[in-house]
Amino acid sequence: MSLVELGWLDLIGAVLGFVFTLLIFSYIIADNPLFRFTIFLFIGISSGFVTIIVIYNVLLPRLVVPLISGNQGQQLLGLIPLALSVLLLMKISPRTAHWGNSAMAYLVGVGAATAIGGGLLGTLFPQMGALINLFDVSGIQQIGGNLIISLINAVIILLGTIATLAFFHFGIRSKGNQTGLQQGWIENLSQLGRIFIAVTFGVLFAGVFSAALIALVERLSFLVDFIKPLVTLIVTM
Amino acid sequence: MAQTAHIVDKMTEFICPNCGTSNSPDQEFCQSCHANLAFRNTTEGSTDNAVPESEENQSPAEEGYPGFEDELIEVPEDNNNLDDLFKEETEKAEIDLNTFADSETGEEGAISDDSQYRDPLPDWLIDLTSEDVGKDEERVLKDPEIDEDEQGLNNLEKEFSAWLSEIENDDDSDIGEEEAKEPVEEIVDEPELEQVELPEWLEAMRPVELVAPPLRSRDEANELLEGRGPLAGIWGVLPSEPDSAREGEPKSASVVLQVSENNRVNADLLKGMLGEKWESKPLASSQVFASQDYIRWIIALILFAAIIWALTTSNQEQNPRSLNTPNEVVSVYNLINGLTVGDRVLVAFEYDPGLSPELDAAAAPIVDHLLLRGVYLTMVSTSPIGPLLGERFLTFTQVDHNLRTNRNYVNLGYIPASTAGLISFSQNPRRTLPFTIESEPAWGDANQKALLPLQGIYQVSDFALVVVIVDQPEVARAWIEQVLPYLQAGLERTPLVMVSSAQAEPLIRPYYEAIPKQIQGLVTGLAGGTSYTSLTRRDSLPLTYWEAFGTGLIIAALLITIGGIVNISISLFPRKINDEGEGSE
Repeated sequence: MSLVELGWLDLIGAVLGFVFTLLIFSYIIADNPLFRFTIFLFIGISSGFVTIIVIYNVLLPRLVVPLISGNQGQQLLGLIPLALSVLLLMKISPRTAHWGNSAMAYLVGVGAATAIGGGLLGTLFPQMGALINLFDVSGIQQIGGNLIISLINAVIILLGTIATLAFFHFGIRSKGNQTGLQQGWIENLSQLGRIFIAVTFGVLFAGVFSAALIALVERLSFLVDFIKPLVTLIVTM
Repeated sequence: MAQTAHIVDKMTEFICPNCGTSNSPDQEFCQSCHANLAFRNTTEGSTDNAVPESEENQSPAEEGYPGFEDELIEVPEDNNNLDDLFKEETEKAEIDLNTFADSETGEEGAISDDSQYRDPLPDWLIDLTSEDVGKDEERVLKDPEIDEDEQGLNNLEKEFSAWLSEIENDDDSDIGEEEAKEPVEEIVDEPELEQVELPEWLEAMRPVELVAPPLRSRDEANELLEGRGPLAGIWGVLPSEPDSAREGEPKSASVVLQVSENNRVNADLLKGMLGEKWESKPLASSQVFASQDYIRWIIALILFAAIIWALTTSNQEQNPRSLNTPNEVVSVYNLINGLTVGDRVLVAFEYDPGLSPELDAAAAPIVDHLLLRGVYLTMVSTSPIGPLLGERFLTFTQVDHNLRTNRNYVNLGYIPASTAGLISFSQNPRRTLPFTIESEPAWGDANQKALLPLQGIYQVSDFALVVVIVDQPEVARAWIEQVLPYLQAGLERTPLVMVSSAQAEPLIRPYYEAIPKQIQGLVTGLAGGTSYTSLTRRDSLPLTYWEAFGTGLIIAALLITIGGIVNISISLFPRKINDEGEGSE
């Protein structure tokens, strides 16, 4: 969509976007008040928007409406989150903070149980099973893959997994007067694990750089799209 | 005059002998300890100077006693005048003192006879004094009990003084013979102990004499000559400094430490360590060709110029058909191709605005494909800002489909409570998210049908496909761990696919590579979106950025390579200089 085809509101939005993009880019020169003003503005707008969402998407439909216009059962059920919310609000003051411990304990307990259960059943056991299945020859043949390549791939994955785990093994042993010795084979394995970790971090950095570069391309594309029609207008005039 | 009367009242109060509480004169018992105060009347009655009850509240001045008018201080009504009154009285007292001093020194004009300055005693006081003294003397002489007690006290004083004189007798020989006679006789009767010389070894065991100075007698102390301060040269003055401060440092006893050979070796080792010079070595100065600011500006200029050049000159008509399409992208394409018109698809927008360019570009061809298949979309997010990003995504990337909210898609908004909220949504989506983002009832009731995109949905496995657009591996893992079990609970397993940012791909890929696969498809970043576009053969957002992105990557790789070479050169350059310097030496 060209800049000329935009409505007034869209045009104002585009102009604001253009200005704020330039203000953000001004950080290239140096850290300056305009850049900080823009950052603070974005943080403030985000916070305000999140507050509005929480009020209209959570508090009103799930707490206030059931308590006011719900039936008796909904009102009784609504009292539980209301009480927990009030207890949680008491965390604001140090004098009444201990009243909020029960609500906080409930939140932490539920969160921890959910995370642990999900981690075990959703990640750990399935990933262990997947690692074991990599050596399932009949499974590989069913898929139709190259057996040798698949097995080499499985060995590399297994080696990488064990080596990475060995890198995070900090156990030591004592022998006579010599203390603080790590077993030789674990030390060698941990060195191999360090290589795997370095490769992983390299890939992660490449991903982060790639994401940032796309953001830059998108902003520059916006600036080009904003300026191009203006230049065309000026040239034609 | 009222205050004067009050003062007199205070004077006539009776103090309880038992507890010391002041009581009014008319009380028979103490108001504090309830002791009987009746004896007071008898004692008052027995003494001649008892004031009659009717006269107690009367001041002497009121009674007309001479001289009391002068002695009584009139308490003014106004408290502010108290200071002035006190000042006047102080001045009067100073004048009297000066006059008295003049009379003592016998200066000219001074009055030696101070009787002239004495105020004549009032008659009542003269009578009272003479009568009391006379009566007391008579009482002492006549009363045998008092006589015995006081005589006993006198005897005790005499014995006490005699005992004291015993102690002082050793030092002071001026005591009278009568007082010191008896004790001296007793001492003389006892045989005196002879002074014995201590053996040397015993003398050596008296460390007190090594440390503390020998005790001086009182006479010696009195005869000390003051050597410091303004009283220097005067004998017997109190010392201005304590004795301990005057003495020198105490003699130190020699201590021989019993150390073993090992201890000595360790001590030598520690001494050697502490004796080493810990001199800080200056860091090798690294040569900087330009300041960091210049480098940053140069890099930005190069990158900006290359990207803008690519954006302005790119030919978007050229579709990258030669791009090798990964299997995970093909899996997603096949899954979407398998959907039928009217299927319900759940799309989760789980990313932040900062990464929206990448994820919008990656997800745009997939959502475009979904809408082409005629499915209904349901949008959710565990991020409060996710629903807004979803709306923005549809507005800017799917303009061609003319989507209408609650008809083609529904936005259920924000799922609170993170992972716990995901479980709740998986178990019962109707109860967890009952309203749309516009606060409209989404699921209907007995009288009203659910919104079109949500009809037939009772649990999460009723969706035909779940697409999660995510930028963080933790959020992707939460969806896999919490929602996937409920997706696989139905008769027909609902596939879960991910559209992820490039930065999260390494941690999400294992879920796709696993056997069996936990996620059935994965589209990663702009490259994944572009690959998907090559499958759908539709003009889409990734193609807008693809050439500029590639140019930027090449420039970045070049800059990183050049920077690396420069850094290596800098690190090698000073070493070469050092080597040359060492060789010349």
